[in-house]
Amino acid sequence: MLEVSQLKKHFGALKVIDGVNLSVARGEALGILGPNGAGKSTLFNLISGNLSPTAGTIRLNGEDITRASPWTRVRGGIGRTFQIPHPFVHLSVFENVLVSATQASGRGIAVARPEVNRILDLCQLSHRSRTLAGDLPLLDLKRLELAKALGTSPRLLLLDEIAGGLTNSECVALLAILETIKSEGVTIVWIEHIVHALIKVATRLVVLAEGNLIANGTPETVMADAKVRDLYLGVEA
Amino acid sequence: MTSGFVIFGRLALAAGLICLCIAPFAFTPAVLVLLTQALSMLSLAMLWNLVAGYGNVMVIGQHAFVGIGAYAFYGFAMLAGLHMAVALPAAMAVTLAFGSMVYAMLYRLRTAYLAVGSWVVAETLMLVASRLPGFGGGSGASLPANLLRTFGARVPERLSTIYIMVLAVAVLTFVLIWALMRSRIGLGLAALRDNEEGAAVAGVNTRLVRAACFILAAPMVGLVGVLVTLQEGRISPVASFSMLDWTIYVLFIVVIGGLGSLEGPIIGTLVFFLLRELLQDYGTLYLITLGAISILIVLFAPTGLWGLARRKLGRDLIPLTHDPKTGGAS
Ligand SMILES: Nc1ncnc2c1ncn2[C@@H]1O[C@H](COP(=O)(O)OP(=O)(O)O)[C@@H](O)[C@H]1O
Ligand SMILES: [Mg+2]
Repeated sequence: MLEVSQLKKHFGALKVIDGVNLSVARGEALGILGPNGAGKSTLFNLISGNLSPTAGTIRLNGEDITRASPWTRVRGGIGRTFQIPHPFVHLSVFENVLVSATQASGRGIAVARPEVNRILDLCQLSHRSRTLAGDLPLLDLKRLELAKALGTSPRLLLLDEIAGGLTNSECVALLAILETIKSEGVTIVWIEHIVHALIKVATRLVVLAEGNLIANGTPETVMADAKVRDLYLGVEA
Repeated sequence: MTSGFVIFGRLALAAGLICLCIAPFAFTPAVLVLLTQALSMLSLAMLWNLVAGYGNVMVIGQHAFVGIGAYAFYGFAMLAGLHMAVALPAAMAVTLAFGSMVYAMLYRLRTAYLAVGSWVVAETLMLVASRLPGFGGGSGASLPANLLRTFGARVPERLSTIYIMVLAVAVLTFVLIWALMRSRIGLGLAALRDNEEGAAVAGVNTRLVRAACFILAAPMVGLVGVLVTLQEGRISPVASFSMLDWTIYVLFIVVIGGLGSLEGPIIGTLVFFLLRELLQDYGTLYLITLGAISILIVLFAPTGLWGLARRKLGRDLIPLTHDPKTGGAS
């Protein structure tokens, strides 16, 4: 589904992504681990088209999208959340999701309405649908970030640290949502520090450190990897 | 629940519109002149708000299109001798063409670079206008009396004809922008206003939408330029391309009223002309007051007067929102 090869992103002398090769199969749920500043969010920005790479190629379903605009990639089926939520603060929660449900697909507002309400239900935001996004507390902003991504009807969903700061029960609720999305056949790539949550969803893990992938495999093998244990020693069991 | 203040606000808007419609029969020529100026400024403010407030294209060279509209109209009507009804759309077409060219030059620029770039382009166009043969050079040219007489044999009639045209353009501009903002495209524009990166990954073609705002606003600005020319009865590089009148004051109006809202330009225009009438005897004090108010607003109320009121009211005066329920109240 997604094929990233020899991908590089340099900011001046800073080599944030330095030759990453990664492929994601249809229906897979890939977890991405890595310390802060490893370049994980930058990798997402390259895949979603918010940044353009210094070198390398990105293919979606075999098609080269390396230079495509973000909105073209959305039409190609890529949906994403931002680590720091990007709400449309002067629009209501309903309208925020309505934006993503109408713009890429070209659907009319009336046609998209039931789908938006379904997504708000799924993301536990129905009771907030008329609230301005600028007035939401952080937890709901994170839910909205997910709802907005779902509004584009993604085939490939990129999630950037959506479980941080959740209580146990909120985390359980989030995992249930992700299971639903997964069961609908959506391919998921999830950057997450909360390892115990990540491995409940991920079928495969990769670890990014200093712009390179240093491990790749099933959750068990990756978590047992010496380099990874080194990196995460004292952070996670 | 629609609060009393919102109902009051909507009634005030409706009453204002009725007053504007009966103005030619109800007010003295002096008041009519003031209203003509105010409505011209309102149109420019709504258009600049569309481009800068919604489209995030922070140009400060809008005055160029006022000037181009004025000069193109003069060229078609006076030099080519075309009928008014042809010269006017032709002038709009010329502004549209210039809008496309200028955007092609500027679209890669952002923030301060875009502001300065568009200003430089506007000043250059003014210099070109002052050297065009047949347009009266640096001092400009007057519209001949026989052209002005097509709007009425005597001055009061002329004033009301031009007033009605200016009112029609202001109403048209408002309705077009309102309809745009109610549509699917407008929803994308509202998203763009709030968060450009977020809008792009929600599927909004931000490049196209920004370009469309800028390029389609240009002929409307040109149309206002034609109307201003008819009000003044003349073109000149300094007045037709006046940065102070057609950009700085417009910017003041939108910033005071509230950037990126439909209500902002209306409130801003009211405040601007109120201040102008109150302070007109004090000369520079007027400009200093305008400047001071702008700075205070930018520092303490970046969403403008309407932004402050909007928080208190909790909803818009001019309904734009989409409700989760079909047929729900906006
Ligand atoms: N636009 C940018 N310009 C310069 N440096 C950047 C930019 N974006 C990210 N970086 C740098 O790239 C590095 C990786 O950032 P990021 O991808 O956000 O890491 P992660 O998500 O893994 O925590 C950081 O050192 C960050 O400062
Ligand atoms: Mg990150």
